[in-house]
Formats: sequence, structure tokens, C-alpha cells
Amino acid sequence: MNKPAQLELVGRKIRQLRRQRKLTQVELADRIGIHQSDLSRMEQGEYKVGLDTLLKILQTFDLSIGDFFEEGNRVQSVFDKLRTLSPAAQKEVESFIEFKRAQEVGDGESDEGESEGEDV
Amino acid sequence: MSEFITRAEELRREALAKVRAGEVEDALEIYDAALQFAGDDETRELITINKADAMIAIERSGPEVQALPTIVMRRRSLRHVYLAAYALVFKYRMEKELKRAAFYGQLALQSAEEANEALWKIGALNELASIYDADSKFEQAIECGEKAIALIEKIEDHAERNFAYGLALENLGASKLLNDEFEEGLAMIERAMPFISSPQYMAEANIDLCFGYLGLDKLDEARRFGEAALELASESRQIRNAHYLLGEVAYKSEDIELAEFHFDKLAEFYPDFRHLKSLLFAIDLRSMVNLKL
Repeated sequence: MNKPAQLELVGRKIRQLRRQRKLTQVELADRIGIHQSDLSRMEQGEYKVGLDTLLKILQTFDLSIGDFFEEGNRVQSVFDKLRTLSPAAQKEVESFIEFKRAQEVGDGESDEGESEGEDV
Repeated sequence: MSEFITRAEELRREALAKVRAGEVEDALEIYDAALQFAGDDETRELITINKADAMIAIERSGPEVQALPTIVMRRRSLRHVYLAAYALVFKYRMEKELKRAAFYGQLALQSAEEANEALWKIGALNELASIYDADSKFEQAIECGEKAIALIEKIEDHAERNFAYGLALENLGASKLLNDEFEEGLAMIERAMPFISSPQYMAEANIDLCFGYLGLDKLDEARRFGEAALELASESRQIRNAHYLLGEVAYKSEDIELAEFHFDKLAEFYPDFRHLKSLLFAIDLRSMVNLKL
């Protein structure tokens, strides 16, 4: 029954939503009554606000939870599903993730090689 | 001339007593009368600082408040520098101008150190700790809080020491919690509680304990302190914090009905926020929240 709680995740999401709404930091900070520099630190996960201020920020965007934490929910849901598997199956998934990572790294390296070749 | 000064001082003391009794408007009139009798610049300056301090307490501005920075820079006496800087700290902290508040807090501390006045130092350090807490600079807040506690422990007057000790230790414990030092913070707040008598501060300490035990996943303790906080809470901020934390405790205890009750209570404070409850059910905001604000 864990919920995503990362300071940076929330901060990043606030920045993303603010930009989507085409609000500057100054405009959003003015609306909720904090300093622009504090909002900036908050978006970087370096500044904690009062509960009231945080709820006012979230209210400003007036989004459903699905919209707000789409990314966090998706990651959480993968974790939740993983936890329901047997230890052996979990190991298998882990190996598969390692395989995909290695494949992607390999792809990246070969892309680099190709471009180097083209340059030559 | 000295008769005038004495009368000015008498009136100044009378006004200070009025301020302490909460009769600030009356005090302001008495300060004006005191200024009429002030026979020298030093007395006039002291009355000006006191009057400005009273005005700041009722969130009013005026020439006396505007004169405070000049008084600090003029440095007529260390006492005046301390008093004026301290008044400005309070003003800027209330206005959430934390950088300015910290600037004057440092000046107040500097004058306290120059004068070697322990009580002044404690006052400045406590203010600085609150400012740094509000500015999410928890390590600096802890440093100031620890220095204040060390000085308070040396106060000889027991009644005065106990009162100051309880509040400073509670604040320091809360700074530790905000800095994710849960075990140490909780121990400090529990040590502070016997010294705290005001229901408002007790509510604050209980909220902090609820937050700390929740951070350690000790849900029974968190619930106990959260409920005690809710019973004592008088300020809206405290009530909201208590419902929020109790909602989180209930959620983590898988008591969804109770979580819903507390989140509903919190949502009553935000009638236009349609998705508040679902949001609270989906994410844990604790790491973003400073409950002291």
C-alpha cells in the first residue's frame, strides 16, 4: 500500500504542469503567494512548503489524479504487478530487464559507431 | 531635563506593559506621549524601537517601523541594534521575506555576541532557527537550535529556563524530523513535552510526533499522537495537518474508511478542489510538506 512520495517526482511534475499551462514561475508563485525563487527550489525538490500552499498549487492545476501522476502511477503499477509474482518469476523478469538494458546499450554503441563511420 | 527623561521612561514602561497585556492600540498612544517627553536622542530612539515593535505585532507600518533599518546601521548602542534588528526579523518572517529576516537575524546575533548577552543570543538563535526551517535550510536550523539549547541550559532561573527549554527543544526536534533524522527528533520532542504547558504548543508537539512516528512506520504511536493533536488543535493549520497525518496513518494501516474520514475533513478546507481526496489517496505528500508553515 505504498504511494509514490518522492520530493523530486512531485517537483518535476509541478514544473511540467506549469509549463503545459504556459505559466511562468513568477505567475504561479504570485497566484499561490510564495516567492518565485522558492517555487524554483520546490520544482527542483529542494524546498518544502506548508500543506496549505502545496494543496493550493495542486488545486491550481485542477487535474484528476490520473492526469497528475500518470508517470508515477505507471511505475507503481509495474512494481505492484511484479510483487504478485513468485520469486522465480521475479528473477526471470529481472533477467529480462537486464537483457533489454544490455540490448539498448548495445544499440546505442552501434549507432555511435555508424555515425562515426559516416563522418569518416 | 532629567525630569522629562524620567517621565518618558515611565511612559515607555507603561506602554510596554500594555503591549504585554495585548492592549496594543493603547500602548501606541502612550508611546506617542513618551516621545513628547523624550529629552535626548537615545531615549527617543529606544521609544521609537518599542513603538515600531508594537506596530509590527499588529501588522501596521509607519515612520517608526521604517526607521528601524537606519537605527540598526547607526549603531548608537548594542542594545538598540539588537532590539531594532530583532523587531525587523519578526516583521520579515511574518511577511515571508526570509532572506531579509535571516540578514537581520544575523545582525541581532552579532550584536548579542558583542554585548555577551546570553538571553539576546538565545532570542536571535531561536528566530534564526525558525527562519532557516521555513526556508528548508534544516541543517542551519539545527545548528542554531543546538546553540540555543546549550545557552538555555546555563540559565539559572528555573522557571525561565524550563519555558525556553521546552519550546527550543521542541523546535529543534521538529527541525531534525524535517531533516529526516527521525529517531533523534522524536527523542528531543518527547523530552521537551513535560516543559510545555500551552495547549497550542502541545498540539504542535503532538503533530510533530505523529509525523515522526509515521516516518518510522510506527503507526499505533503515530495515531495516538495525531489524535491527541486533533483534540488540542486550535489553529486551522494545526487541524488541517492533524487530519492530513491521521489520514496517512489510516491509509498505511489499510483502514480506508478512516482515511476517507480524515481526508474528507481536510477537503472541507478546500471546497473548490474537486480531486483532493483522490489525490491524497494516490500520493504521499509528506516529503514535500513542512508542517511548521
